[in-house]
Amino acid sequence: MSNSEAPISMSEHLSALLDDEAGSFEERRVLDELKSDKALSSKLANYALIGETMRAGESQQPALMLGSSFLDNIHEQIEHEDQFDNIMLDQAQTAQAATNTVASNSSSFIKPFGGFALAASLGALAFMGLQNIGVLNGPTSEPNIIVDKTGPTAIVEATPNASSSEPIPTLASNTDEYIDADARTRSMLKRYVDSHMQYTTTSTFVPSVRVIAYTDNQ
Amino acid sequence: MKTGFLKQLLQLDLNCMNKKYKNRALSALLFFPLISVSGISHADESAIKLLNKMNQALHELSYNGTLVLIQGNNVSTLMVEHSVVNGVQSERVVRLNESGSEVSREVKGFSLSKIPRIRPEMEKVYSFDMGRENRVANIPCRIITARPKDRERYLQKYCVDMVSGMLLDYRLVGKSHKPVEQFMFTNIEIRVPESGVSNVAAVKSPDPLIPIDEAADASSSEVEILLRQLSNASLEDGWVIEALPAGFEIRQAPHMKEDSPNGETISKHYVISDGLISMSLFLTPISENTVPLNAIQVNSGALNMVTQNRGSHRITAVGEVPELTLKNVVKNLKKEQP
Repeated sequence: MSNSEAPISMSEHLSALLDDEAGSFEERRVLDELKSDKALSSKLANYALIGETMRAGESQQPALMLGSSFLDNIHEQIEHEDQFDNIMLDQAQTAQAATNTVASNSSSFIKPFGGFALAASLGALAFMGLQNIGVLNGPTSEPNIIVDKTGPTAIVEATPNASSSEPIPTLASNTDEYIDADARTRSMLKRYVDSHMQYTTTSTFVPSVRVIAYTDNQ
Repeated sequence: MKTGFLKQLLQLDLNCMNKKYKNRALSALLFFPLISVSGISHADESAIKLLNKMNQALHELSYNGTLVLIQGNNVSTLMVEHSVVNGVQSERVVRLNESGSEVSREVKGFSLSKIPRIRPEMEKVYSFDMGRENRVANIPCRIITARPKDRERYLQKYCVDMVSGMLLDYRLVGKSHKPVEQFMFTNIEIRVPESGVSNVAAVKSPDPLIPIDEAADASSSEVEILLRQLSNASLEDGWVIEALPAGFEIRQAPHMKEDSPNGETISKHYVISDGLISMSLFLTPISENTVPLNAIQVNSGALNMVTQNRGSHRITAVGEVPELTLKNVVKNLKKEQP
């Protein structure tokens, strides 16, 4: 019986790379191989797609469906998203909105129910605080960043280019009431920001925007 | 005789002290602000002088260093190189940290040379004050505050190297007294062209820098040429901004073309600026088939954006001003009936 282990296949190296378990040598080897091996590229695309789908399933977010030509599309996607970045609802703002909602609700209860209701409101406050960790919020706790409530509303958030690409839990992205923003809206907002940056001589910083979701308040 | 007169005068003065006490107190109250204003005015002058020295230094100095840029909750590290050779400015800004990527990427748009020069009219809406001394990147610097006199704009804080005039730390502070955007050098080498090294020995860059005038963004002077000053708050097509915050002037930028399902749409672009900060107002005609987009809000550090559909137009305001300012501009934008 031989002690020698079976050689690790390139697929396993690939899997390790995607799971962030590959060492630097392995990484280089796989990346070198990817340059010439179309089949391996295709396999990487499939693995990435499967991983993306599973992660999306865990977070109850719609899967990012990029098709089988995933790798081919990566550069194109990056190009399109060049000035955009991850969407991150300002947790502080959202928390404030939730608090405001509860506070406004509680104030209407104070008069009829007095101290008892106040205690209940404080309990609700604590509960809402817990909700900010990432639990679904109800329609009444919409973020206060919505400007006009007379019609369908898009909630967007912009972050600078350098932020992490890891999905950040947001109330908006976890709620059923929000739908994904389309590329046209994102493009529209980006053009406005770009044009603003181009013609204002006072802007030192580099903003970028990306729409996260729409909601219909009506 | 003279002494007696003085004594009499003194006696009279003592007798009348009770009466005059109130008047003197009143006088003191009246004079105190004058003295204070005089002091502030002096501080303003030195602050403005140093800010303008800073502005000049940002164009004339050669420097390279690393700075930390904080926008809201996000932190970036940028490597900035700026050089002046034969009067021509070149600049390169590289983002050193990006989504775990090992590859740094050049950043377009960030430029310290965009920080505007202080003009006298800005004192109507800002108070420029010298603050205490600080130390940034191991270089002593002086804090200068541009404090807005209303709530329509952010407070700005600069920390400027008194020797070279180099800006080492810059903050835009919101109403919660916390910076909404900030950059701060963590290390910097400053060189004064043709007069030797200012702080540390010069380091030659391995890569050629991009001349600022050839960069993607037009230089300030080029932009100024493209903007058309409007004499009042009346825009084109009967639009008018009622109650524009003090100190802001409106200029029209070139139209922005936008492809839409119904063909090409032209957005009117107006730049509203008080000289230190700016916002843009876009008026875009929309068709009946346009997906309703009644309200959008974007926030990225100091940058805010508000979009609202009103009648046959989409109104978008974007700028480095508090969101309330943008909302007020959109709210106060009216279409005059013909």
